[in-house]
Amino acid sequence: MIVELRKFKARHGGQAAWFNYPDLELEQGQCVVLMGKTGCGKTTLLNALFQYSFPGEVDYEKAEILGVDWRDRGKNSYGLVSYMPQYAQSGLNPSLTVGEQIDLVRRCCFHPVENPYAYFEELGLKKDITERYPFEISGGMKQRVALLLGFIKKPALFVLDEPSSALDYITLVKTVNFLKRRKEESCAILMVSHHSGFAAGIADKVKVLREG
Amino acid sequence: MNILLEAVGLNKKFNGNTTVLNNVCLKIRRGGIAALIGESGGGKTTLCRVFTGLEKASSGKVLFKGKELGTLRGRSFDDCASLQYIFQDPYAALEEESTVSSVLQEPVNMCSRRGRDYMPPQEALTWAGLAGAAFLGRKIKTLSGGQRQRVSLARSLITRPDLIIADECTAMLDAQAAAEIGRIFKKLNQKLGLSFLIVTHDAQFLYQVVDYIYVLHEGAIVEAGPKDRVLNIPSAGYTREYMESMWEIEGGGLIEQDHLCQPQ
Repeated sequence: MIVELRKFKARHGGQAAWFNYPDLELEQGQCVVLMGKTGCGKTTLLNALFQYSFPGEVDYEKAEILGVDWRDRGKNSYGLVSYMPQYAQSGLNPSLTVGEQIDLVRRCCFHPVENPYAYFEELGLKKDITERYPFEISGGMKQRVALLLGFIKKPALFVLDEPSSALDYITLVKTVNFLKRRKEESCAILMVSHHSGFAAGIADKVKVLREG
Repeated sequence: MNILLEAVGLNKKFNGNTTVLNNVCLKIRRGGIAALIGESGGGKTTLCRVFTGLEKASSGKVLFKGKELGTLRGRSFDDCASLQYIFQDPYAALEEESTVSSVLQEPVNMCSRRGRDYMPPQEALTWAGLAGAAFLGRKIKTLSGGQRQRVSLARSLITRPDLIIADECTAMLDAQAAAEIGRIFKKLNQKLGLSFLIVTHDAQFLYQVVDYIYVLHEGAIVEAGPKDRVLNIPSAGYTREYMESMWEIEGGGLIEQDHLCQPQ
């Protein structure tokens, strides 16, 4: 089991109300999508689970990530979990070209993919963007570069928060196919998305969250 | 036809050689809601930034209410106030530590200083679907992506603009909230006569909100026409490809009930 949650709840610091989450099981090569209205706590769940300094409280009966209790997950999960937050495109280093960022991430990984540039065609990215800085490419391109950077480490679990934002329909089709191939390579995907069509293309299970 | 915004032969090159906009000509009529669609990297955001003066076109003209507009520095306050822009990324567009109240007070102060009529913040928030005085005290960092985008919309309404350019403003909203934003745009259009240029990838918006569609591909307008014509009888090969992809994605939007797990 890659992720297992039972009676998991979280709340932001200083707020009285808890977000109560449905039980969740995510296995290797599977994709679970969290859906729900804006403000119902989708991103809060991902932050609570995967942000090292979550500014709030967490309570649960069982919360295991890659077989390890949430409280003991530590930095050991770094090599196995990739997390692409909302608006990940804003997280690209503005002072490095796309190519330099790819090389930097490769150098930081224990077992990186051999040729990350092979993903370019799958994602509909042109090779010449490796020479460009983030401010010189579109939002949709940056979104796909962020996606690619997350897969360089060959994660066992990829956590994606709204990866379809800023993507047009032609690119969405390519992204769905890209994520399906990564699932076939045994990567588990935990994803927040508001886009039911996009989610339906990838999801094995959909969890719909309601407020509270 | 009363033309509000017009692009005349706009060209934009980055680094002197990468063509981003190629002889773009379009017209937004007063009271209209136009959409700009196309593939990522096709120049949609750059075109919006040229309209709002954040980028300088390499050649060509932008006319707003018949008057040629330069970059932001050369524009009058009234020009800037009348043409508002909602950014693609609400996380970058709003200061994290600010309160909603202070974000909305800034354009109020600017309008007051220059004697321009403005919309009270409470009213702007209500239009944006965030009613309630308590919301004014919330810090931006406590808001979800969708709520931030609605605050951006409220901020743009304060100056009582003629035209709002919205760059993928529903990208971070769930379907219900996006539909609500669409209804708000329609209402603002009908009740206040507000015009819109909307960059969108949202089929719901294309079908239910806009009345005219421009298709941008590799920096050039490859198709333009009334919504029903472009959506149902696209003439350009690129538009047909776009529509096929749209249905490949949206056709999968009906998730089988077996896969639907309700919260416990």
